[in-house]
Amino acid sequence: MPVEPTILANYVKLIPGARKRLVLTDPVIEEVTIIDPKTKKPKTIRRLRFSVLEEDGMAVTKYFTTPSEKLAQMLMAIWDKRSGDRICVYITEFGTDLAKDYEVNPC
Amino acid sequence: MSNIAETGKDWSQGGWKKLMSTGTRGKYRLVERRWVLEYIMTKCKDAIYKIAHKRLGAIPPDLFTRISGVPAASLKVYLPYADAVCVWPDRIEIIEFKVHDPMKAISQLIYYKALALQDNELKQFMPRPIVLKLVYWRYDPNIDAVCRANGIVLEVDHPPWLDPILRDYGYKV
Repeated sequence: MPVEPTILANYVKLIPGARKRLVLTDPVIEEVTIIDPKTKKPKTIRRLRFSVLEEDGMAVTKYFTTPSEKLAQMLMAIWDKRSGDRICVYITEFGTDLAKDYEVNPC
Repeated sequence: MSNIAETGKDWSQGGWKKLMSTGTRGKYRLVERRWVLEYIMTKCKDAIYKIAHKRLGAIPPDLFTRISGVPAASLKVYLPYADAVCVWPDRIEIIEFKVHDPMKAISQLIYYKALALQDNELKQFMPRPIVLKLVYWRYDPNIDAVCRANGIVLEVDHPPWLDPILRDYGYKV
């Protein structure tokens, strides 16, 4: 049974139904090859990656990545209207698979 | 027996093959959510409390019996939501955004006001007056008149990125 990384992890993992407060900076779009979870074949995807400065009030050095076009557009809408070099957001993930959706709010 | 995919027969206007071929799907466009988030980031920046897509009201008690074994927070999906709620020192603004059919927002906002009065999260900001606001991308005197008659403020907000989307929908902008 795989063990969830809880102590050492350099990325932020969203838990469905739980609201997470993140302070994000430096968005980049990166191209990576992943194993498709359904077809089990490699495929190249583009995803949005932010550097995370704070996670739920704690200073961290992590990354937050999302291949979701919907979530990426919501975060970039907030990023475009920011006043400094970072944004503070609350992200909540709902549902799974094709019904997955996100609720994003500026702090 | 040959199937449609093999024969390549036109199935509807675009044809089956066109539908199934890669790259025909348009880019996913956020319209209302983007508009709401941008509005909150610019016009509600200094609000005491601001939230997009706020579920309003209390969960009906019969839902707990009809759907058992589900956390109460999950039952919130059955509640209607206002596009944005911004709390200012002197008022609570409930805001609805419309690209099409702004008349629908009139009844929605009146309904949301009734729900907001029962909302647990908004209780802490009471007894501030509730201001209902409709954000539409152009000024329409008829809609303005209906809004005034129902105590709703009509605000015109036209972000430039909305123009190509409106043109795609057939509006002359």
